[in-house]
Amino acid sequence: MKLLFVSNLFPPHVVGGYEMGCQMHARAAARAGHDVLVATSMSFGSLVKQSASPGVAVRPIFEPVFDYEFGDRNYQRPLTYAGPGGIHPGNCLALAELIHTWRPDAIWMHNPLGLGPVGILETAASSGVPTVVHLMDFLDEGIRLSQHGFELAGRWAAAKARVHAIACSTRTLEENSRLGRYASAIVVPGGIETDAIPCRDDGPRPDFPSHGPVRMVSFGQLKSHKGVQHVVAALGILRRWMRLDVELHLIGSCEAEFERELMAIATSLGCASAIHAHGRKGRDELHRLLATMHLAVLPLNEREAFGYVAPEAALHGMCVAIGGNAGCTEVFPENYPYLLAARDDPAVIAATVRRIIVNGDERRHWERALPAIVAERCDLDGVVMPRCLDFIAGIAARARTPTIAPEVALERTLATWQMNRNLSRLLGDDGPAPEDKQRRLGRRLNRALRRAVPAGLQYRFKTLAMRLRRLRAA
Amino acid sequence: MLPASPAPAAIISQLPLDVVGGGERFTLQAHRSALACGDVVDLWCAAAGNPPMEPHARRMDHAYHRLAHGGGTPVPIETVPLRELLRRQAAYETVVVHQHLVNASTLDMLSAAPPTQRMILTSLGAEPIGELFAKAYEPHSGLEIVEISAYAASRATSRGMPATSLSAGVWRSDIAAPIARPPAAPLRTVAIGRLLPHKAFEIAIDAVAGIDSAATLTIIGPSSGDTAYEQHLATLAARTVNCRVAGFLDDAARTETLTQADVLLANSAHVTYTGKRLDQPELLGLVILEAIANGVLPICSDIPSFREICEALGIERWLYPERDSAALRELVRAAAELAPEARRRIVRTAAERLENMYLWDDYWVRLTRRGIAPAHLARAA
Repeated sequence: MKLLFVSNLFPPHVVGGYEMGCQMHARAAARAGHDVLVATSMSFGSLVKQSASPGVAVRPIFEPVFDYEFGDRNYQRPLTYAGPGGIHPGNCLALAELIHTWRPDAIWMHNPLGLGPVGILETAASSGVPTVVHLMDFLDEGIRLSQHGFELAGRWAAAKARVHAIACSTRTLEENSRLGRYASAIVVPGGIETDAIPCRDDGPRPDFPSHGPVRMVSFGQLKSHKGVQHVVAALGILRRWMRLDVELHLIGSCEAEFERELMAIATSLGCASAIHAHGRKGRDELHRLLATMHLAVLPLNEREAFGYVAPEAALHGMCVAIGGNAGCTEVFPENYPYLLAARDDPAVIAATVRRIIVNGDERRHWERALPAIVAERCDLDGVVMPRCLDFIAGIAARARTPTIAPEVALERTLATWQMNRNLSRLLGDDGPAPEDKQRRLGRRLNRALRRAVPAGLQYRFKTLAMRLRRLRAA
Repeated sequence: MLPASPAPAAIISQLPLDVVGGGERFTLQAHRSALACGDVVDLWCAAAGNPPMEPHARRMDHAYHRLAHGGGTPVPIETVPLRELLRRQAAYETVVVHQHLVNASTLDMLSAAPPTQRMILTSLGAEPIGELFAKAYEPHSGLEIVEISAYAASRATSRGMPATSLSAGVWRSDIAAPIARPPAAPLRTVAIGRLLPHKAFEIAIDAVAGIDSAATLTIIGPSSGDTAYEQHLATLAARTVNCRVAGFLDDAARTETLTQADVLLANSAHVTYTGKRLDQPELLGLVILEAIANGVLPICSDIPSFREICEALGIERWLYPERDSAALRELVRAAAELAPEARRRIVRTAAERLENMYLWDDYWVRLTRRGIAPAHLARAA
């Protein structure tokens, strides 16, 4: 099959799991012998850089309309304020042109937010090419919250009813049904390239040391919504009150402000010296580091559509304390004992970690069982891709000729966008209110600095700064 | 959540439907026509007269009623803000917006239409956002402006909004054979419409008062709230012996009075009694169609929409120059002098033409089953 992938961002530029998931799917589809082309946007802002995707053709045809660095605050250009939840005419045209010239057998859409998702989905749905949206985020919520100066949630729902979906978890599918259902949908857990994990088949890791620290790891994006601050607080409880020799290894990118917050918490609890910040690592180095850890704590919240980090840690043969409502918990057995009932309560996290450390038999059982259980559900090439490709082939076989010609649908999409723009302009109601000048100036300076300094160097500085602060605190 | 299975079509009126003027009556009849044609069509209307050009955030809070309407008085069964209506709107196959030049939210509705949806706009006269709409409007193949007369369509087209027309005014069952009335003196004339200055009832009073004993005039219509004009009419009528203002009558009494009359006087004009000039006084002339259906000869001012109907019905001889009471008086005299049988013949012929062109019975089918432009069909193929 000729598979056209659509994603707002694509490695080397990534924000999180959605882009990496898209990359894994594209690479796996190419490995499975399919002709793969990825349509994505130009990079915008100093995003995290990942390794590129050999074997996958990438065409950055879309205008980057949404600056992830500044999130919702980025509505600078009047033509692009509709990017997060509306229609971007240039991107619709670009997609329509690519579909027309490349003639894919199926469109496999990943994250359309930021590209003018309503227009993108309508263009795909009207193209006559079977379209599947891979749901790895709560798109409906993103659309609902981004209706500024227009109200296109109904159109989003109407377009959804004409395309199909693969969701990474049942809850993700439910969350993505809030603004209407897809024509058909299946749940396939997020795929993980298990071959990249070195110790998966090595059996249970050596028992915890009777002397010396237990190495606890938290990795991925180190942001407040990932609950890292609760892990730091839990570390303080473990060391100070439970008298357990535990150290916390943080691996991943971390904003300076949040880093200061973490260190302030650790200092106040007297555990700053037990924190080791490794900064962001490449995949190979990450896996090498993970192989040296004893357990993982990932208090993912309920907004986490999947959360690759937890099954990845499990594939390393580690017991993982996970936020109980994250999408990835669906790949863990029902009787898995380390789901956090309250992921934002350090006492609960500390108690769960203590249980892992103290209850050796239970821990060893799960260390042995988890890699096989997770691989059975998340192995990208062996399980996930065959299921996805079967589903796509099935809908491709049932595809029908569209009721209106694609170019007619596109003309209508663009005309309705134009009318909305005209109205906004005529009534002086041009999208969300602009920010005050001072904030805008601050953002520009920040961005200029970020662009001037390479990302790798920034992280070295950050790591160095963290170490200096830790030394000072000690 | 969207409703599980919405009706395939909706009519949305940008004006409330709790008062019944010509436009509102047209909307209710259009909905009744859809029901008669066997289609399930949701009827929505603005819950109140919303300010026409508010910012987006405030427009989204405008309330709309979904109405239960079986042909009689519509009853609100649900009220939602515009934001919710727009979400639901996308699920309909066809959306007909009436009074589309009343509020800027019409453009929100057009923006919220998926490419598969068919949108039909009908203005019905009120045009507070006419200029804004003409600037913001972008024609496309899923969108049609279908006005209620060729005149109304030509006005839209001249503003850069290509439009077609489709008229309706009476039900087949309402068309009565002209009754043979005994010759009576005086001639009974009636003028019907909301008591608004552009209806120029004063011209009818002036014309009929001059005839004195040869004719009587009854003016029927609800108050418009323009008390100055209503007082002006009352004063004029009080000076005569053969004219009276009956005011509001319910539908049955109104129809009864109409059927008892010999002649209907439709006097709308571009210039009011105060000298104020209107861009368009009428887009159709429902009252003319109702008169013919009830066997009553209409005498009409020569404004474009009335002329269009009179020409279509073959009664253009009964047009008089607008605001020319002397000319109207002559036509009333001529009608009075006509033999009853001659008058009936004129009306019967007009009624036959009416049945071919202005029926509600098939209006919805004529409106919605019209084909998409051949060019688009070819491209779709």
